[in-house]
Amino acid sequence: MSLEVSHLSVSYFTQKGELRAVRDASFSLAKRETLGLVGESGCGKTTLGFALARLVPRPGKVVRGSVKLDGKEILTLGDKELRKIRGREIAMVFQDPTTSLNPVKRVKDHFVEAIRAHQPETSKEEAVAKCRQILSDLGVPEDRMKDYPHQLSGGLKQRVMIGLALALDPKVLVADEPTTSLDVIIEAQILDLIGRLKAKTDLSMLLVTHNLGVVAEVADRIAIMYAGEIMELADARTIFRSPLFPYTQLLLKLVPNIEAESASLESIPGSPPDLTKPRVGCQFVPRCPFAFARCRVEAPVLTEVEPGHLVACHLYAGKEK
Amino acid sequence: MGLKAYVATRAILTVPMLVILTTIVFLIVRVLPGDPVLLHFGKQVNPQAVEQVRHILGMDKPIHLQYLDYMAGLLRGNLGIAFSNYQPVSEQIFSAFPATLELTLYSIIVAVLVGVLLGARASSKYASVGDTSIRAFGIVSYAIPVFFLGLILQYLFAIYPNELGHSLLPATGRISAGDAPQGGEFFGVHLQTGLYTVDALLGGSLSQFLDAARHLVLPSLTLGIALSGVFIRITRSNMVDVLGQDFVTAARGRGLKERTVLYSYGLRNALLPILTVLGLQFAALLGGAILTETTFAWGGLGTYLYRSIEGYDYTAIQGAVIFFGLLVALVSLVIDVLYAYLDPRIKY
Amino acid sequence: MRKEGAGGKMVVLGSGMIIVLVTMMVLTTFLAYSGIYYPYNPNLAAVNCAAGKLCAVPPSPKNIMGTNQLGEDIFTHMLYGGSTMIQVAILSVLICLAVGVPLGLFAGYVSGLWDRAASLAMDSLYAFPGLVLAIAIASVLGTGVVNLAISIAVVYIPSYFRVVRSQVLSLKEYPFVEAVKVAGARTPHVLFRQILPNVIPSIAVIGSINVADAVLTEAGLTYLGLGVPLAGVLPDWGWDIYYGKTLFLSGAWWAWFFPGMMIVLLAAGFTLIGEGLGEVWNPKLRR
Repeated sequence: MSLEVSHLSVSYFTQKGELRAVRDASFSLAKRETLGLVGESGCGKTTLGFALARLVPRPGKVVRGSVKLDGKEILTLGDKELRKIRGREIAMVFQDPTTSLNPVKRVKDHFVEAIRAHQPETSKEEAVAKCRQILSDLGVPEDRMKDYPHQLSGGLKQRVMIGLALALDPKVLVADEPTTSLDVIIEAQILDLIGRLKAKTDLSMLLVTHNLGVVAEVADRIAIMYAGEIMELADARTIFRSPLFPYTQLLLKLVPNIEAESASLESIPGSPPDLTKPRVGCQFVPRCPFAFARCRVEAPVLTEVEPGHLVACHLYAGKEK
Repeated sequence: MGLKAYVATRAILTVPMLVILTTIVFLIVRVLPGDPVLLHFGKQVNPQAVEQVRHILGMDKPIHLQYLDYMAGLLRGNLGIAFSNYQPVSEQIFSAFPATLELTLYSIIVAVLVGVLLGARASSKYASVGDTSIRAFGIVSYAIPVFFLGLILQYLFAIYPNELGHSLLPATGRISAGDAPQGGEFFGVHLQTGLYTVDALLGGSLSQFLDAARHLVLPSLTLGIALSGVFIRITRSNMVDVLGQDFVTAARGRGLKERTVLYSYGLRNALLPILTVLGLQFAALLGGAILTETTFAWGGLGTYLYRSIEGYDYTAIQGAVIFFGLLVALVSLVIDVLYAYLDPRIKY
Repeated sequence: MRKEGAGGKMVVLGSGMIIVLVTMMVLTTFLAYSGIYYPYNPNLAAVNCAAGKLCAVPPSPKNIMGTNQLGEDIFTHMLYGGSTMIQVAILSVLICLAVGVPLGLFAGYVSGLWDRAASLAMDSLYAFPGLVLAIAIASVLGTGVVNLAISIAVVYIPSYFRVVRSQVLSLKEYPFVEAVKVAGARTPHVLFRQILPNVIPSIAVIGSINVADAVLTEAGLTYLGLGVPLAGVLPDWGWDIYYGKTLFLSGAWWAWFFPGMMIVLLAAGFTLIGEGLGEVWNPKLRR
């Protein structure tokens, strides 16, 4: 077992009140496994990804829960230990590569800096050599190492970001919408790259996305998130073949072909709920075609209804194993 | 366009600005109501003497000829003859300038150090008690008249200790009794900069250097602190902006030290707007220098301007004002070039 | 206006300070011209003061902030001495608004040669050391509330021009402006009814910080002896410092310290309002 998240809750304390972005999320991520975390924008999936490396920006705060990496609790680490984990054990790739690199640093300097932050004994030349090797593996021409970020295209920047994330051979990679800001062709290339990475290394990956097409290609298991909560969790095949949660079902019905790149979650009727005022009962009630009395008063709990298939929905009450 | 072409274009663009500027100053003195010569000599002087002075100064000619004379003089670095002692204004200005330069240089260091460090610190503790107190300091330092701050510091650290029988810091002047430092050999050339701290070092006299430095403490703190408010504000707001960007979170996510994140990612990217402000503040700095010099009897351009105002010496005022304008235009040119050099994103 | 966060609090605090100071100024001016003084007549010695002697008395229960070299009560001066400064500052900002804003609107809207000429002139003025320019103008124009206000206004007009012009440049591309133009509205209507209201927040921000700048410039000019001459019945903080300076070596710090603090309060009040407004209206800093 590599990463174990249990009962994690994250809130943003804004002037409008507490915005409960992630509520009671639990899941695990095994070695070499890729978990797709899917939900519409504003559902808290990015916050959840950030929370794993304690990168939730102010005024956000982890309210309760635990994140354990190989048994070690991350949420209570001191600053120094936390820095050792970040980049080295848990690495991140962000949604928008155009804003994720320091505009005044050359590509290779990002690598040198990151490598030497964790391995101060590495010489600058060794770090540059490592950078060259990583980038060539990722298909970035060698002469681009000396470029500044603004000289690179979006796709190249995202390759650099992925390279930076892999520079220290992390155990877990959290990729937050790594292809959203790229055009379709580049997206396919990057996804292909991620797929090959998966095959080659021991890397565990959390792939955060709103695009079912993306997870279909690379994820082993999929977690569906709605309004800050994980509502369904199963292996990818099960999610696509026999989804249980009505939201997941709706999503799949709306997608004629799961391979379609544009299979996006924003097309479900109704609007996502206001996370500052969570309702009593199930959050999906206003958009759910099957909602009944119990759903309005009692929040369902994520329960295993079939081996390896968890869902939080009263429709499956009594089927718990 | 290459960097050289950019610098050239920028320099050429400075020319019309300077022409407008000098013309404005010329018009202010000639066209606005009030006769400079009469004001200078008072009303009792006999008309013949006034006419004579006008003639010597060339002020009896038609205004367009005066303008041509004036512009031709400017091109040759001639700022005219002072009313008060019939000396060339340009010579007087050049002898007063090093004192002002020395004061402003040290003040900029104080202002940037205090402003940028406090501003960066405030942004890293956004909305905390520390942030609030730094902002309060910034607002007070912006709102305090520079001469008033000068009086307070002068009283607290020079006059009052003196009353108690301790001499802590000198209240006025650039150097204690004795001559100004004479400079010294520098790579085989005798060099005298007029900056007393530099000249003392060139001359190899540590005691003179310390003396000059002690005299600099209060004036440069005064001017520096009064100016730091602007830097605190601009550093803080730019840093808050930059620190909220993805690449900062990404840097944290790579496990970089908070110091690296704050300075190499945050401050480094907030630096360009700060540099722009430094350029714009140079004008304010000179204004503050006039008031600071007056307070600390610092024999620079500010004192020169102050005396010229007291003596209604219009050519001197005109000369000093033009010199200040020239200085600002030059500095803003340098800043723009630096800006282009520092920001890899700028395409010339 | 939203009164949230630090920005809102700053505006409230600054406005409070200014309201108190301005009320004080109006009240004392009124009292002075009706011949009623409180607690002392600012122009008459509050302590026994023989002619030709220095009468600066340190703070005491009778004169809580001491007296100046003429034996006049400093606390009374503090109550009475702000009116010239505020008048000059407000008047100069009004001049700036009257000249800088229309010019900026016009230049930004018409573009072309007029815009370039105006911009060049304004940039030249902007690059000029403000106090030096004000000194030059004030020393030629002579002193007086209006002249001083003009000298200060000339220095700051370019700031208004630049801000308004750059906003107009982007605003005039907006669909709502285009729509009005297509509907056949005349230029003045578009400028003053459609564009101006959108520029007002930025004008308010620089306007309030500018009052502080004007107060400080006025104080600086007075410190150099170029202030509005003391003529009427009212004392002035700036001149109090100017004269208090002569008492410097005798140790009578109260004669210049308290009037100076009043100037700081006045300038800080306007700075707070400006910075606060800037923060309330600038979503980048409001989180």
